[in-house]
Amino acid sequence: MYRVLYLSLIVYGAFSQITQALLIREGLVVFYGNEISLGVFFGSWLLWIAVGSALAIPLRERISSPLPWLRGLLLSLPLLLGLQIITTRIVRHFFDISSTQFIAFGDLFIAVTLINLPAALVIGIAFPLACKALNLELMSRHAEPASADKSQQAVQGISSLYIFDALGALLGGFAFTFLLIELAGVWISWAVVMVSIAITALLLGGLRQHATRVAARLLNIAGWLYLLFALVFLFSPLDAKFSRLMETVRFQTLQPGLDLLDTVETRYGHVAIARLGDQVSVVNNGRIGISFPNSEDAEKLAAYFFTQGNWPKRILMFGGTASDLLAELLRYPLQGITVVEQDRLAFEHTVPWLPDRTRKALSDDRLEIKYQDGRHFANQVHDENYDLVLVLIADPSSAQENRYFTHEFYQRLRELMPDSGVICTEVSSASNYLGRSISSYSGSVLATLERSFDYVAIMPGDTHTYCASNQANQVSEDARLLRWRYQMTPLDQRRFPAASFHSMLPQDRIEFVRRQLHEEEAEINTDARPVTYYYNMILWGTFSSSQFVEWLQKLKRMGTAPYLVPLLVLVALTLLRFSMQPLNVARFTRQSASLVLVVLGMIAMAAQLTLLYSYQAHVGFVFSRIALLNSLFMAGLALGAGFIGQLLVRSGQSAYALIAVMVSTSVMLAVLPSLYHYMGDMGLDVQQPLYLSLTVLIGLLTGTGFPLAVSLTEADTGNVLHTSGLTAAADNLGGAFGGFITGALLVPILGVSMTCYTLALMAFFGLLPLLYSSTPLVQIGWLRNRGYQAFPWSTLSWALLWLVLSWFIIMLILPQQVRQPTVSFDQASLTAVSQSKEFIFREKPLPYYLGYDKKVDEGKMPDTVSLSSMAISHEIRGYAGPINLLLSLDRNSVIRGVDYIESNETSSYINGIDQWLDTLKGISLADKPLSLDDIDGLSGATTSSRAVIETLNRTASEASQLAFDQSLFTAMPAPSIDWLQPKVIVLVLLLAVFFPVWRSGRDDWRLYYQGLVLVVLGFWFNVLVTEVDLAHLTQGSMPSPYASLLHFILIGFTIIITLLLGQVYCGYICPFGALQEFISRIGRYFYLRSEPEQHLERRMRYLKYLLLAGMLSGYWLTRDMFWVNFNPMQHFFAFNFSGWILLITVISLLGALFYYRFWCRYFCPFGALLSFGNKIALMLKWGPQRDYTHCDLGVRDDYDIDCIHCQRCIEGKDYGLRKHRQATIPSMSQKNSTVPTGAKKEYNNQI
Amino acid sequence: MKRRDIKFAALVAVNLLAIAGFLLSHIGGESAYTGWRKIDYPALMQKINSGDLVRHNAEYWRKQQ
Repeated sequence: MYRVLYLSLIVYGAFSQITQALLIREGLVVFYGNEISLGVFFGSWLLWIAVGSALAIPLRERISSPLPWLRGLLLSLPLLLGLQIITTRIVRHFFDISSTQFIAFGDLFIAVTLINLPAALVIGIAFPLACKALNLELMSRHAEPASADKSQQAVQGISSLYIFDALGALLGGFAFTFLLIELAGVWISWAVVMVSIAITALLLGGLRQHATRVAARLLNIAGWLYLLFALVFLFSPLDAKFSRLMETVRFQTLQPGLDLLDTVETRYGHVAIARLGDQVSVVNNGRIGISFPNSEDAEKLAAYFFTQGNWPKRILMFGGTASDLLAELLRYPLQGITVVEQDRLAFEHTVPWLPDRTRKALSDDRLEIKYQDGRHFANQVHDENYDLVLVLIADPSSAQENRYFTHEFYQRLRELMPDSGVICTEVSSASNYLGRSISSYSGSVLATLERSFDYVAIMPGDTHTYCASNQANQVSEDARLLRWRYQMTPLDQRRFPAASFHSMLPQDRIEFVRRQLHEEEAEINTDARPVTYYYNMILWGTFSSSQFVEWLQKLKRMGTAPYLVPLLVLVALTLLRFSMQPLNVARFTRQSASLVLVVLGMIAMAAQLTLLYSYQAHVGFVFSRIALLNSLFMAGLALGAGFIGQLLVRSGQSAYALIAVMVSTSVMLAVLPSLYHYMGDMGLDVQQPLYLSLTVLIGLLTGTGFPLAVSLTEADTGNVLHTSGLTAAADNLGGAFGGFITGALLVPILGVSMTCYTLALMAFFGLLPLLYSSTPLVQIGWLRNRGYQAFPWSTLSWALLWLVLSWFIIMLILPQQVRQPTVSFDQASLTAVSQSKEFIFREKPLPYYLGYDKKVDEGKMPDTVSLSSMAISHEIRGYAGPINLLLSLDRNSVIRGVDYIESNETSSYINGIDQWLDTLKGISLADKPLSLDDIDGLSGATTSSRAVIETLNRTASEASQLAFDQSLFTAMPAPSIDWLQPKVIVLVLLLAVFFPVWRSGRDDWRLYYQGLVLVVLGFWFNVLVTEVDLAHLTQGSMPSPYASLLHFILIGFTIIITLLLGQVYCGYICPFGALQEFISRIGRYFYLRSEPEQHLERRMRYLKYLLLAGMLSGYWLTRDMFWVNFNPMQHFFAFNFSGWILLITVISLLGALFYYRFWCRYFCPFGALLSFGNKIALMLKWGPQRDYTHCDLGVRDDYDIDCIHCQRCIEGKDYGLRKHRQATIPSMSQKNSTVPTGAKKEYNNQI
Repeated sequence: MKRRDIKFAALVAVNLLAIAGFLLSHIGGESAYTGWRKIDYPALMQKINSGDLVRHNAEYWRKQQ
């Protein structure tokens, strides 16, 4: 009887597959057939399964009898499925999306994710519960096995259930594809599923494990009720009525106002026929594909195409059969028209609604209809010569439709035509405004045509019509020529007025459109790289005001980096973390195996999605084959897990076997693009079996890894439910991630080929930790002495580090958008700076304004010239980049005025700049340039002052030449470094003195030194290293030694000593730290100092790392300096006390009275960054020996990350609390420690 | 929690709030590189009302002609 459990897994597997297929099909209809919904669907489905599996882990202790739960969950599924289908059908109503409007990406993501939640969560919870139920059942039937056998039994149990689940999926997929949906439709399928589930739930009641009789009875009643309802539904008219009602409900959200006449689900999607007034429309997957009658349009197009084809004899048409165009073309003197109609079923349903004229045209002898996929037809046909080919399939808004706009397709069509042959196609556009999105979209089709054909003619409008040929003088944009051709055509009746050619082809508009389309370098659309499909997504996003579009465009610019960099950083940090922690190879192997499982799950799903996209591009009907493809994939998984994987587990070399699996997967992915390309040219009868075999192979290879990872994981946890939950969660989480990023990002942005190569690299990177754990290298412990953990959240800290590092590297790679500086100004600004009244604007060679004090007179020399310094001096950098100033100079070379516009300087450095610039008014530049020798610099901002002076000199010189043809001062001074200036000497001496002071370890020397630092670096120089410097360094900016030598020296010194000695800058050299040191000493002197409880205090010290991460992320995201400007040390020594900065400064200094170095220890992001130097500290041994028994800051180790090297522990003079502090632990590196051994326990008890 | 710890936590919280206040007071302004620019409506209305905008375009058009 326990085998009923296996049956239940089969039913779960089948249900899962059928549910996926039904919901995917529903989603494709309401989301207009776009395959992005596939990726979002699979991603969210697997995510919820992962969440369900993870939820089952904490339940393991609480659920003693999982069987009733299993039954209950099973019985809930049909109800949930029904609700999910209905919800999908009315989802547009929930989001208030009108017909023809695209749903925004964000809404699509939310909708699909929430719709998938119920059933996927239930299925996710069910699997670990079934594992436990099976384990309990087996244990109750056999004698208690030994521990090792127990473990083996557990692994085998999990794997066998996995196999049955996959088997169920396979059966479900076949049954759905070939029986249920073909013969029965959606709701009958639903009822059949309900019957299976009811029967299984009732059978499960026969097993021994059940909780209470009441619960068992209730479940039995529920099972019988389901069965009864399903049978009534199946054998009564209820099904037909309900189906019609649901169709109507869905259609009203897609195309409200239209009367629904007929619906059919074909292999390509959902087709509806609807009427509005006299017009009938064919609605494909929610969008109107064609409407008729539309005779005016048909007449125009027929005339246009026929004349472009230059009296064609034989025409080949893809699509457009139901339109009036066919009937209209048959009025022309043709020998024959071949129409390729891919969806026969949809066409047959449309025919009864066609106008008489069109129906009569269908029986024309010259007409031949081929019911076949267009791409296959083109591949198969040989020795045909069509004079005109019309590709009138709908827009490339899905991968399925995009394949009629690719380079490969156009190349194939070329072979079906003579050189004089013409191909015409259409793509949506806009008649008046060609924004960038539309230009790129339509432009990519134009670029693809131009790659295959030498001549392309454009007819602009709401739809761009392109006609292309390889022969000159064939296609034309000349309205007169086309008109003449039309008039020479023997026709019984000319319904289309020939003069209309001129309005269809206005020359200036054609030139404008062509220019716009060529302005952006549009990419060629290919099968492997469907860029037009990507541009359609951008257009979609633009139309739906989705902010996702901006991210999509950024991601495109970044290539593969966003996908590879995080994984590479994760692998590097995993290895680093392992190297620093106490050696535990088993745990590391388990963690590595879990990573491999996540990566494998991701790759499996991602590879399957590339296959689905490729299938859609080459075969075209994923809509009808989705269940089959997925179920075969699951079958492959089952084969791999059930047979090959089990064999390898028994070999006892799971780690090596898993490595081999990952390497094979990587190789397979690298080869896939070539395989897809090869299969693209084959006939349908060969393509289909090959695709189906390939999906099995992908499942096989990736499924093999599952039991291997299970065995490696189980070796460490020893708990069935825990293991099954963990591995299922890891696998599905990876699959969820793979689904999301592949479907929504990788394939549309990179194309199928690059996606496969990226995945191959990801497989290799994911393998590295496991590879490392399997080699002797794993024993090397060269970093273990640096592994002391100062904070309790080790995993969080590493995760944060991973996020920030990945973000940093990606930011480095992302091409920076250069902000356009302000170079144009309004009249008021110009008058204010120049005192002129009227202005003439000149654009060449650079933007500048000629000013006239009275009235504009172009015959006379202007009175002033005003311009932005960025127009000329953009390469001159202040400390933080160019400074934009509006300068006005008169014809006597006198400065009329200077206005500060913008820069990236630290606010304290340019505090008061406006007033300072005012002092430059009236200075003459006729003889010599501005110099700090003659004028006062901006207080506390020598760097910026120099930059401003140099900027103004350069700008004035150019402006004078431009406007007045006058040269100013004869020579610009060449930049030079003055090493011997007094300030530099003082700084160098101060930094040199640091070494003996630090080496001595003496508290009094340190205090004297800090006093010097406070006065010299702080109040006198106002030179500090701050977060602003950090931000600039991350952008690759260093202060120039020419412009800011003091800063240059100080930053360089800080970097070097941090790497060599650790965080000594904070303890010795930071002026703000010195200020806090003195305030803290004063506070202690007056018995104000307090020591918070260690547990709390330790956690508060972690805050500065969070501030550092947040600050850097905010800055990198926005490039806005305010993110890094909140540290009071940036403002204090410039006496910039205003607003929030004043408050922060007051609180920090007040806090220092009560808590030692309040800002430094809890808030300073720069200090947080420097603390990482404590883990490097290459020359730490040179320093004085610290004594942690006296440390009141919680430092307990040489390489403790949070030591600011205040060295107070050496003499211990700054303590009044020694009686409160007893617990210490010896440093891991101290060899001669005299600390009592029981101290560690006492310390830890206090945490 | 002891009184000294409450005082300590409160001081840290206040300083964090001050930092948050500083950051929030700057968010939403015109930022470089974000693509989100605040429109200076008073300046724009002044240009429209004074006829400067129209005049400039008209001059450009005349020159093209």
